[in-house]
Amino acid sequence: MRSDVIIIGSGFGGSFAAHRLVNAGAKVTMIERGPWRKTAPLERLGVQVERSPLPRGRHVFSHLVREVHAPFLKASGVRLNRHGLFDIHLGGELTVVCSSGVGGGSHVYSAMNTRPIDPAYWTGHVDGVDEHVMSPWYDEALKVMGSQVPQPGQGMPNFTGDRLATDPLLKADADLAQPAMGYRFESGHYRNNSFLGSAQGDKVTLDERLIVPATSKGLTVLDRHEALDIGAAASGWRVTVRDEAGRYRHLQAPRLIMAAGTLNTLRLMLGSRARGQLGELPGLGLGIGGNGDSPAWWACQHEDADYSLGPPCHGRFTLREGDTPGYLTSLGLNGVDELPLPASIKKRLKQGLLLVGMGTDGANGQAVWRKGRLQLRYDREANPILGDIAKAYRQLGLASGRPLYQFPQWPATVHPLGGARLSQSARTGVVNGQGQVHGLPGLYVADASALPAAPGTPPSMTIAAWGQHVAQGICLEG
Amino acid sequence: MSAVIHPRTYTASEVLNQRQSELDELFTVLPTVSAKSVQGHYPGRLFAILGLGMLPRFVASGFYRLMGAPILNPWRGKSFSNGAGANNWFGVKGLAFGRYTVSNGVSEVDGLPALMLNYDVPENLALLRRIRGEARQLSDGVVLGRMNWKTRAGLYRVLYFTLRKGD
Repeated sequence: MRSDVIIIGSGFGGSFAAHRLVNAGAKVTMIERGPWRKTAPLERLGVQVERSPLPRGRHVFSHLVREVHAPFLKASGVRLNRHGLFDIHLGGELTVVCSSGVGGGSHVYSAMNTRPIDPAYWTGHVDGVDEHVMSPWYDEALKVMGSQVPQPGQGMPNFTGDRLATDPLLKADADLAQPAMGYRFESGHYRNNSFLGSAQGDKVTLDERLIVPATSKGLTVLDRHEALDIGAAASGWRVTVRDEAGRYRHLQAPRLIMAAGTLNTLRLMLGSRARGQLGELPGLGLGIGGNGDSPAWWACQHEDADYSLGPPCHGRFTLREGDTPGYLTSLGLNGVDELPLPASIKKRLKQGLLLVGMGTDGANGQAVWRKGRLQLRYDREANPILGDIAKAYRQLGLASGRPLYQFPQWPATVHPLGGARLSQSARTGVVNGQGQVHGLPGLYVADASALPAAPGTPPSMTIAAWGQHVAQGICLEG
Repeated sequence: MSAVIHPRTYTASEVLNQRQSELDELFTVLPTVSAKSVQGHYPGRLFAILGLGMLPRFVASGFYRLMGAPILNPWRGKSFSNGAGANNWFGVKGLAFGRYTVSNGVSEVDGLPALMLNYDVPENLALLRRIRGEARQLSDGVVLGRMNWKTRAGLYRVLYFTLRKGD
């Protein structure tokens, strides 16, 4: 199989890079360790490949977790189910949950399509990359995802812009910028389309929107192939992969784009560096952050509410009293109907809210490679945004008189970033303004590990913009 | 902050688990090694031996791990010196037996550049003179090689080996 570019990973970075490259005429091979997913849009597109069911109904527990990594388990992790949707990386200082499958995080994300909090997010890191350069890529990503900003009065269930108009504690005034959402509002269908995947396809996912169309233009997808090793090849770069049957393959292309998601990209790069295949890369592992992710469960138990309805995210809100730190959103347990639970418990879950806060943490952690395994160093105390959000949650819990559960002693994120970050030199980071690894021509990073700082908002569009920017640079090189 | 990197050998389990056909594909994509760059003693490991591909992977890789023990396999590696070399037995710097010339050339198997180890030298027994070795760069300080057996009908892959630059 001859390719111009190999891309490891099919999430926002990999898919948008592949989209741009195949449209420019390149032959691209995409490696994805997870399976294609069984969803209605892929059914409609007539995709004739083996697909794994999403975790729902009788599959809800068996298909929930694919792999678990933990310090007390073997270095390669423990595979629970090859169809599993989530990978869990338990760590003492930072726990990470991410998804697996063709389309990456788009299956499980909250569909919030946003730009970073800081309007000058891209400025000042490297020459040649700034808002002027990156803004068109955000526009393109929002267009591709069909993103729309919900408006009050549109009939979207539980939209904070409507629901909080009379709330005594929270507000979402018209001047609060709401996130655009990659959601088919016109379907009018608001059930079972969130964290457990969007089987009906009301949430727009990358597999149907970008990957399947690209397969007719020169994209080959190797699903259920796990990348194990990268290194220099006779002509460009080599990737060693293993399929589910345990067979090994060795692919080669002039260019290799790492877009496996922060942890998997770092695992591959740190491991390959330790085997002497990537040189020194002194900046590899620096700049790890969790995007200030701060989840909490608010058992508000509003009697007349069914918060499981609505798109994956209900929108942003602020506190009526005091300053609101970061970027707070509310979400219902969309998909709770699919869980095999007693009706009384489902009812209680539908009347509570999942609150998710984010913010610009310092991205000051570090990824290290010890005895063949990835370890994340992350000091919660060195990132005051986490404490600020926790304090706001405590105030809300006290003011409401209802339990609000958070886990400040157990830092966890679904948005790990950094470790192969954008930098002017190899000492402080890994990639240059074109996303190419310093000193290693032909090797690129196009996922959240390349981000220079925390966006403080859901990072999907920032990753998509970066993926397009990297691909465009390759297209211009020819 | 900078990290101190100590190149290690290629993950043994990943190489030992692979079939000959899979290693053929790996060997084809690797860059060649300059004959001038290989000098000194290189500890080695053997694997992917002809005929053992029928075994389940875990059995074969277990066997190759056992073959790493000096008591079961006296072959310890190779040494190189100015365009010539020899296999070392009973120790990394042990008995030199099975000599070869070293040059850069083109593989008779895949037609791509490789480091060629030619055993057709007068010091060797007639049997050994049919061996043709090839090697390419796997990572910094690590070479992946294969041993071929030359017959009138062509070349047969006998086994693969890694060589790691000694300290």
